[in-house]
Amino acid sequence: MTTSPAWMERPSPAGRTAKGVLLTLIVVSVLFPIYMVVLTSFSTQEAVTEAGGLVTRPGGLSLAAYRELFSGGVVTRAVLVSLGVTAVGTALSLVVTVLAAYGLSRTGSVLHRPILFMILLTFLFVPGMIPSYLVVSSLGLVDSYWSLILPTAVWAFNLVVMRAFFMNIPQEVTDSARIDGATEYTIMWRIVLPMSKGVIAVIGLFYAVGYWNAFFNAVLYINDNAKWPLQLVLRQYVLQGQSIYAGQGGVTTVGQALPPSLAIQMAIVVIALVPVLFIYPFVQKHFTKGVVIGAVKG
Amino acid sequence: MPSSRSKTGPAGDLTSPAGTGTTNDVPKRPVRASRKNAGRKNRSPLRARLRRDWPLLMMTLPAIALLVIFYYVPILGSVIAFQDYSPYVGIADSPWVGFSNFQWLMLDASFWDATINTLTIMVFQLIFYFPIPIMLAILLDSIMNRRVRLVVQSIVYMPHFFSWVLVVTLFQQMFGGAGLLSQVLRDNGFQGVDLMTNPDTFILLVTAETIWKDAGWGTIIFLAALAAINPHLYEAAAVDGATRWQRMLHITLPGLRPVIILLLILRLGDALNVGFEQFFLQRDAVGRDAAEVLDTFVYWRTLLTGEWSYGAAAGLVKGIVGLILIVIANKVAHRFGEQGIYKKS
Amino acid sequence: MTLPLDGATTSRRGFLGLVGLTAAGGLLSACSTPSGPRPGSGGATAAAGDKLTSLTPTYIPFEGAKPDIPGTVSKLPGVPGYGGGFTKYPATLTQAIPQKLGKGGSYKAMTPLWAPIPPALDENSFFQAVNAEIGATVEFQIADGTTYADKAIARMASGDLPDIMVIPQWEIEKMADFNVAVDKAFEDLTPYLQGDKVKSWPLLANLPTPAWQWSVWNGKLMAVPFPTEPYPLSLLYRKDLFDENGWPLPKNAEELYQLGKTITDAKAKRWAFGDIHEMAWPIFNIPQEWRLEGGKLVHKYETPEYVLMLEFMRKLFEEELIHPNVVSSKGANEKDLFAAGQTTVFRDGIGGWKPLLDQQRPKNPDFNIGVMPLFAHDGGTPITYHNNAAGIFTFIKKGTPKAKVEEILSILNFTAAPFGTKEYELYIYGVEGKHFTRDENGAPDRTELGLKEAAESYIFLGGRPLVTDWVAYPDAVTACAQWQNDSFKYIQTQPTSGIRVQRPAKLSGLQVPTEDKFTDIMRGRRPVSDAKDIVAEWQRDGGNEGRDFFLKVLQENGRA
Repeated sequence: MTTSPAWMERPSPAGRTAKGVLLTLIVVSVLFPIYMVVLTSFSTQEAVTEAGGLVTRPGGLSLAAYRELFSGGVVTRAVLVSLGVTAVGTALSLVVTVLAAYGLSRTGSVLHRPILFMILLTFLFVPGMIPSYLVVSSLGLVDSYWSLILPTAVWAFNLVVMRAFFMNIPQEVTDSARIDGATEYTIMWRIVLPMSKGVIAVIGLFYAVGYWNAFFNAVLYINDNAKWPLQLVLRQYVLQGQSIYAGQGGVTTVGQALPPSLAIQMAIVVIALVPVLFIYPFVQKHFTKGVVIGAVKG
Repeated sequence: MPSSRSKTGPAGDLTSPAGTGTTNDVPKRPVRASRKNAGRKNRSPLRARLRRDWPLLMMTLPAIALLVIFYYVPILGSVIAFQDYSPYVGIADSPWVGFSNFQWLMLDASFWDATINTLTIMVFQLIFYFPIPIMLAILLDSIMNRRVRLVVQSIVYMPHFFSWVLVVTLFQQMFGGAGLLSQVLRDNGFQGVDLMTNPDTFILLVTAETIWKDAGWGTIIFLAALAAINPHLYEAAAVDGATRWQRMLHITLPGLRPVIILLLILRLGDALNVGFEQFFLQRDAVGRDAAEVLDTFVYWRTLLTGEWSYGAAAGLVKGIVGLILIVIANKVAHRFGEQGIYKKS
Repeated sequence: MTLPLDGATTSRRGFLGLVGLTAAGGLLSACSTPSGPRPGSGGATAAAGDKLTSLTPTYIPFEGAKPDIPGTVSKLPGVPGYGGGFTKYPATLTQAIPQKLGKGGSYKAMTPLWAPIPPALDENSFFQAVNAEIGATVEFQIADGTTYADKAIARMASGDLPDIMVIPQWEIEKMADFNVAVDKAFEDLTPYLQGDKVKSWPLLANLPTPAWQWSVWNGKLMAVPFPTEPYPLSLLYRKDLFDENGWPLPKNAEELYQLGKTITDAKAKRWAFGDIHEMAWPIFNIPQEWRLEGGKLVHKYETPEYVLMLEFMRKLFEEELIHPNVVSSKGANEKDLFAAGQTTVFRDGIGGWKPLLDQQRPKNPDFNIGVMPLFAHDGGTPITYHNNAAGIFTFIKKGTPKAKVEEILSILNFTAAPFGTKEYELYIYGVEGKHFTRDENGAPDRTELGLKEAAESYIFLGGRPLVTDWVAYPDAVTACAQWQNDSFKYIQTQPTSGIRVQRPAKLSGLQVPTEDKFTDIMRGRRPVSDAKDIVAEWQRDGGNEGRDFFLKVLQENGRA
């Protein structure tokens, strides 16, 4: 139980009830489908067959799906690859984004508009697959983990959002430091960043989730199967389930593999969710009111 | 509102004197325009400002370098929109065809159908989806118990990590002709209903799916913004006897406003993207008239024909429309005294 | 309306990249259309008819295991035959390659996969064992089968190619300029394989001639083919449920519909049909693409039967005889619905049969699948469509030195070893005692390690004649082989069968928009009477152009 500030008085009983009901509805509408997903992932093939889809009532339970996924060693290895790429990528992206967002956050600074505009353009136009491949390939990055990081290291959206948060910090705070002779790096490091933990955590989360979920760059740039990230490895288990491309062009049945059971597909969903669940509390920790302003001003 | 809806460009610059606080920088030659404006404002010679600002410029260098190499170099490849391009022949040797790919695009009735669908869905979701993460964030933020807040938030943001295939399947299992709802109805002697195949309500269906999948995720950024609001303001307001509603109207919403407006403008820039897979999957169910959006149109149009140039032309059109919308939205924001994406200087 | 035709249509690819090669009743001829303005689109000059005979390798059948149920030899142009079925595992396996042909070289091979990937070479004892037996190292670069075209195109466009590259036909269909790509990226194999030269690789000589003919681009033999089965699709049904309930097999469209009404019971969560649309076409005698009538080409959309089919499908949708999940999303997992008995009939490749048995038989020994005997909508003589003679191709990187090309061909010779040879068993199952053990019938049964390591990999290199080899399910093999043999006489060849035509892009581009409109009719969103308008739009927007193009192809091949 946390102590609430004085201005946060308890709302009326009616208001509290209404809020409680609303929140419960929202939570249930999300939890019930998630329950189906998790239950299916732990179900036997017969239970899945019986249901003809996602399982809603517990039947035969089994760990088979998870055993299958983690037995080969391929998935475990891919987890390490993905963790590495996500960690290095997120760190790099955050540094680059924080620097650029701060560098562009002072109105009236030289060239800040054209640079900002140039960054915005990347949000609007998407380069083609082949030219991108040619660039990565001519830099010798094919089959290098850097090919999974560098091409997507800067997201215009994240940069612009972070810049907006930086700009919301009252100008007087930074100006006074500047008058005291602080360099831009000092101001950024000592003043702006401590006041922006929340947004840094959020943008870090966005980047991390982006790296964690990305698969198409790996499809293109990684030939060596030992370097495949997790999403690509997991996708292979669900290819038949995602029948997006099935039945086109008179696909012969040659070489089509066993359709994965729904349990494996759902286990994959669960596996992808777990790290995400662990990360969130660390992000949310920085959403604390009251770190701001007052202290710095004095 | 004054007639600032005229096309961007020099005319716009002239009609907005520096003093009024409206700036028009985005047009064709952004570098010059902004220098001009900035110069006007700061009045110090360029060299002095360079000396002052070079650390800031250096800070943007890594990002610029990455974008130049991995974005601006490959984007040059978009010139294939003006070619009859074959990847195996290469840009250098593919014949140039001028604007004919664009002309084809414009003459294609299906392109317009898809564009209208896309814009309709976008506007609809702007009204019925966009505010939901904001409201949800305020609701979540008002949960006093920190642990409950954490748990609830962790739950509502999970669906973001579900693929569209799974989201559609889940909706099917609830509301499809073989879903729970139908089964319950049938068991009680009623007709089953299928909410998944009605073209007239398709826009509601996709919006509901989007809300379920992404509203929780969308709250994160607003929660961060809520956390950045100065608590002293609430304190002072409480002392002045402001009610909860008044505090929300006068402190919370204004505190969120810059972020809301920023996201709104960015969403407009992305106006012609409403997603691909969600529509791809449900396209046959309700028909092309209801479910064809630009991305699926381009996909189907180029899938079997390998018309790279056509796809590139469609991509450029999308970007230009986004650019125009962003510029307009930003100008509107400035009129209302907001900072928008780039602050008025 | 004036269209910006110049510079757009005329140079629009599609009408250019044609290389036609045909084998019509032994009289071989070839055709071409004028090459468009594209530089380097070459190869479209007339390839002399007699050149093709000398292009393809001499066919020398390999005397190996004989199938328990003999197949059907195809005499139809461009139509693959059926190899027959094995109801039991051969008691003795043939050693097909007496001595190692590999010379110790090392090669990278890009292959597709639609299943979990195995550990990479240095951690995979299966790869190591097979490579040792081949005498050369194959290092696989396995790629996601669903995004395969993207990767293949990027690699071909950049010249950043593996030594061996496998590309399925259905991906080639997405590459409009493939005949240009093939010349730039891959080695011409004609000098190595044509005529009797193939004798250095006896198992490649065992591949059927139509499959080789399908591997010719620009008048050159460019790839080693993987032969296909004759039939693209079939109607699979739940035989156990049909037997149990005494549901009759339909002999015409009306009976199929009545069957649907009998079976469907939404309250019991049972719908007669999954997706059967593409099988409704042959049932209604709609041609696979074109029908030649008195020297004129009629497209399938233009046939009166097409409208009958639309009406029929519309009835199925209207009366909700098709499972709602299938109706409402492309992502529906049809096989799960079928296995659950929520649907009882759906269309699938005949190969879809076995994985379902693998999944369901262990716990439900009664689970049984049948394939519906062909029938025509009016009870007359049925027709069925056919595949082209090869479905997947293996290419060798351009500029590979002669000795290395020869070594790669030796690898492909190894992987061409058919069912019933020691080599086949090795490259499919691995090493006995390690990757598999034998069940009571002597058939390989994968071990845990085998399941993990022995992924489908070598099977995509080159090809071998196909047989039905599900020896674990003799009943299914018998039923399947019987159906394939029985159905062969109903195969309806197309006017263009055996001619490799690069379809005009404009015609391909029309396919989805047009079929969308027909879908609207089937699903009751437009009246059936609109079909006429849809056909007229199709004709106007490129259908007629496409017709002229195909007619020309036929004329140049002496078929029209």
